[in-house]
Amino acid sequence: MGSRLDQVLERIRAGLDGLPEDTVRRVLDYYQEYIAEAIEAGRSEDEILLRLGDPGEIVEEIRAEASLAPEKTPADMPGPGLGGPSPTGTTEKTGDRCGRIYSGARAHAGKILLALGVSPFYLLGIGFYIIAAGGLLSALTAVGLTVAGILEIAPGYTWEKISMAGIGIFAAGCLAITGLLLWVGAAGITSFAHGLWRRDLPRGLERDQETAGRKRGNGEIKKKLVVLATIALLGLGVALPTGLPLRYFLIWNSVKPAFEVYTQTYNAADIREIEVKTLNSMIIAEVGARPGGNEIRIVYEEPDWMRGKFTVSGNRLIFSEESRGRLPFLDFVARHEGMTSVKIEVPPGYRARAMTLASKGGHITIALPAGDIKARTLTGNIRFDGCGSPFALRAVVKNGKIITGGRPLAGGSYTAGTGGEHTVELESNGGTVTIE
Amino acid sequence: MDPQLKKGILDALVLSILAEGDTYGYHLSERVAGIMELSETALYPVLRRLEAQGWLGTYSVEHNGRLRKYYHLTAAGRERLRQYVEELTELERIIHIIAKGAGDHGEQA
Repeated sequence: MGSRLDQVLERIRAGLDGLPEDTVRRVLDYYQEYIAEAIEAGRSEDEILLRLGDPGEIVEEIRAEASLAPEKTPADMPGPGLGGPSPTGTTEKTGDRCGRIYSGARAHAGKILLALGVSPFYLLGIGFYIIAAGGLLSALTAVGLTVAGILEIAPGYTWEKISMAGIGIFAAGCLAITGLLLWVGAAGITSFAHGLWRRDLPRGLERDQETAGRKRGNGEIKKKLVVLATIALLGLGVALPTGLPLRYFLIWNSVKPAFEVYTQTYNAADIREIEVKTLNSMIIAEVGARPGGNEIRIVYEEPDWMRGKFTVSGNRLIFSEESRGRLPFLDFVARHEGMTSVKIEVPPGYRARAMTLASKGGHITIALPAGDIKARTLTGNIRFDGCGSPFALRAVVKNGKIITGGRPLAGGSYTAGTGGEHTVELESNGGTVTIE
Repeated sequence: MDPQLKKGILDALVLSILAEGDTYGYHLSERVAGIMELSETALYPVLRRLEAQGWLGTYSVEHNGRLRKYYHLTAAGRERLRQYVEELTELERIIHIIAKGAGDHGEQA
């Protein structure tokens, strides 16, 4: 800043000596800002001096105004109408003296209390800023991880790469939105604290400024949010049709849940028929490992949202599974969580007269010499191994495939071995039936 | 110009510039100076007065490492501007009549 300009500021400062500090500061701030802007705009010192006018005039004008109504709230000051009389100010003068004493006392006592009251808000604001920065940083990290993920996918899997990019963009977008919202929260808390701290302005004005500033900020934030949401949705739009998110979801959901194991043992001589019905647990029927034993064992892995029921009626063993009513949408949830199993172990050489295995969503695996077996599942797969015994077999699928000898068949039904003394019926609505 | 009249017109002018959108001191000053001759010395009290009336508010935005003070119109300011426009329209009508009278008696219009 040129020295002649400094002189002008100095003359204003000297001229305003004795007026409230706040008034002087604001006048100087205004002129300093004007000079800085003018210099930035490339104005010469002479031009600026000319535009500033006479500093003596400034001082006079402000002194006149200050003596009329200093430190007054806007409501107290009558506005000069167009060409109307200017406010006289005689009544204001007395009221003003009391106001000044009062505000002086309040300022000193209040500042300390205010500092104590305001600092927690500042700390909270800073905390939010840190979390928000973390959110924005993790959006960047998501981008990095996505690039690394794409590089990890073997060449040739173009769709997977595209899908990975989509997922990454979606994740980064969501994280950035979260970060931004937290940032807004932090700014809100901080400006609230700031507003409490800076009470030198009349209350009404302050609130006006705050809301106006917030409105302006809101507009910009909205714009940013819309851009980020568009990016995130674009990523989702790319990723979803490739099917990869669904597969991730399914894999992610395939983790075996916590369960308790219940084992029941029956004398094989007493049991002629076995019926097992599950909601979503897998059913495994196989020959028990201990040769020479004569027990039928049922081993049930009970997840905490299911209940297993063992009953024997005559020579018929019945196991059924029902919901405890703990989880909503059990069908939907359990379909992905149906990783627990109920296992039926029969002694070697045992053939049930009838064995019925049914599950809504679980897979069914049968590996024992066939008696009469009926296995049905809605969405699970069935794997059947007759262990070389002769039987007549009929398999039906609606939406899935039938695989025999390792080769998928074209049709939805399959019949084999008409001559056997036992019949095996396998039926799956949506899954695959595999016959060994 | 009569100082009271000039004051009113200045107030209205500043409010009307702000009605077009928020602006900062230097820009506002350039706009005003482009319309009528006015030094910074005359503009500052106007801004101060309008702010004290609650007709305009201020907020600061960082610019080149310092704070740039922006002025914006408040709802009360908008209402005041509307009143000014009404008053000035009335004044315009009267001025028209005065000018016509001056034209009839003195110089040719």
